[in-house]
Amino acid sequence: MVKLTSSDGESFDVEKDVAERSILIKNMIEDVGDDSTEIPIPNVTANVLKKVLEWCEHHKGDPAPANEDDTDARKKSTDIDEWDQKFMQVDQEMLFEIILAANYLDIKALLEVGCKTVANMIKGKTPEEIRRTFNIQNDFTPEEEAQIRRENEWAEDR
Amino acid sequence: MSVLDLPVELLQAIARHLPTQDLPSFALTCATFNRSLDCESLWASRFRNDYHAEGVFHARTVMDHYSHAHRRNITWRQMCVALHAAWNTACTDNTWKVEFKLHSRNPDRPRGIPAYWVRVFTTMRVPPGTYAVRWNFDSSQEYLGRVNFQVALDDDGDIETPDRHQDLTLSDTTAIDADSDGGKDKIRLDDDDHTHQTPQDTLTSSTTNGRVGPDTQVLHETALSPALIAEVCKRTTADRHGTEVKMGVIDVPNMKVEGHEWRDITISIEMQRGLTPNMKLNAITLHPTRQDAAIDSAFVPTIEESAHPFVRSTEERCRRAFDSFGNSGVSFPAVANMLKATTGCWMPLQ
Repeated sequence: MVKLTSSDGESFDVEKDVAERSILIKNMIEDVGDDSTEIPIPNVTANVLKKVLEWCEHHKGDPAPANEDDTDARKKSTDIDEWDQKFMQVDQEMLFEIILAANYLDIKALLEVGCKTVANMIKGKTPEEIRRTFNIQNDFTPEEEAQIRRENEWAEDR
Repeated sequence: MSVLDLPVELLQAIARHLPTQDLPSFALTCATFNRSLDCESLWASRFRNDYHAEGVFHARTVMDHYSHAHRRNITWRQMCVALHAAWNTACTDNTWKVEFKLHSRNPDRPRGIPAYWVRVFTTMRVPPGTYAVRWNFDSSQEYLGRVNFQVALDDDGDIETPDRHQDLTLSDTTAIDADSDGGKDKIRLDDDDHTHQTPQDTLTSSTTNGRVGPDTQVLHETALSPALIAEVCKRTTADRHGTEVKMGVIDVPNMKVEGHEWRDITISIEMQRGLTPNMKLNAITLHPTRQDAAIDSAFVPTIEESAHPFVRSTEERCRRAFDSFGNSGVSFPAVANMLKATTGCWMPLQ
């Protein structure tokens, strides 16, 4: 077992193969050379770490992700495993926290699922609909917006 | 915590999962999203995926020439936007693939000027039976290079491959009689005008199961020479942009898929010349006319690809895309002429 400590001081006892879904933690365990040492995770709070570990537990037997060229990312964007889809049914704050944690902990497959989930929330929407979805302000000046529209007129014209 | 709190590399990771047609909306959402798209690797990898190695090679040539001549760079984002405007495969939803090929015009002179071909194709699974295939296309251009319409079957060694003859008609355009003569059928135009045919104007229609490779058999192939395009595209109409277009239809009423199991067939259109399209393929339809008895009736397919699988851009739309370069000092004619000069391909100039 490995002991992980979140940024807010909560400890989690985790099976080594579950924890090692994170390349960061795997490297830390190798560097320390002692499984019993407590490993601090300073950038991730307990509620997010708990969620990330839930994902790692479910996927602990998965083969290591192939080092694929990112050019095909688009084609797979809707291809999210059913369990992962349910797992990602969280509020937006938690979704972005999970993405940040996956990036920090170097869990590529979880980062991929998070990015796909956000991409699917954007697909087919107008700029205004995207702003509403993510509660974003339009911070373009009218001139800037007109310029970008001109550059993308081909797409507007579909 | 909001999406804007994500670092730029994570916004780019999200953008990589978006189809090209969704990127303008993404860019127009806010300045942060727009800035995240100023990433050459994102666009370069997208370009490589859409236009393959040959497309990247030619685009790089254009970019190098431009940067040398004008001391100003064209970015991958600009190239992507402009070429997507030209191809506009937005409706394809990735089910149609685009492939670029370079062939020597004269096999005896491999160092001669190459011919540039573009092939648009899709693969679908069908049971054995007889099908009616129709390509519906139009062109607003006076000149096209050669165009091939083909249906090929993935070969699993399960079927016999007898030579076959099938009638081929060009509906709504001109009547065609097919005189079977071995593997290649010479198609004689027999229209109302009794147009004089020169040998090079002959339309060929291959209706045998010719093997083109270890894994592929051609079920049908129609090759249109440049001179015959005008004969095929006799009807004229205006598209929604007001541009006059000439319409053509190629029908294959009885294409037989033999065997005992469902097979993968690839339907394609291949056009000579052009990094940009000069033909609009409005629709391809594939209807079963007869199912072989061995097929479970529960699996009777209704297969129709009637959405716009491949959309020609009008000159105006292409011009608009390139005019957006004008803001950074790149003019449409300059880029178009360079593409023509460096790759031998065609760009629509007024």
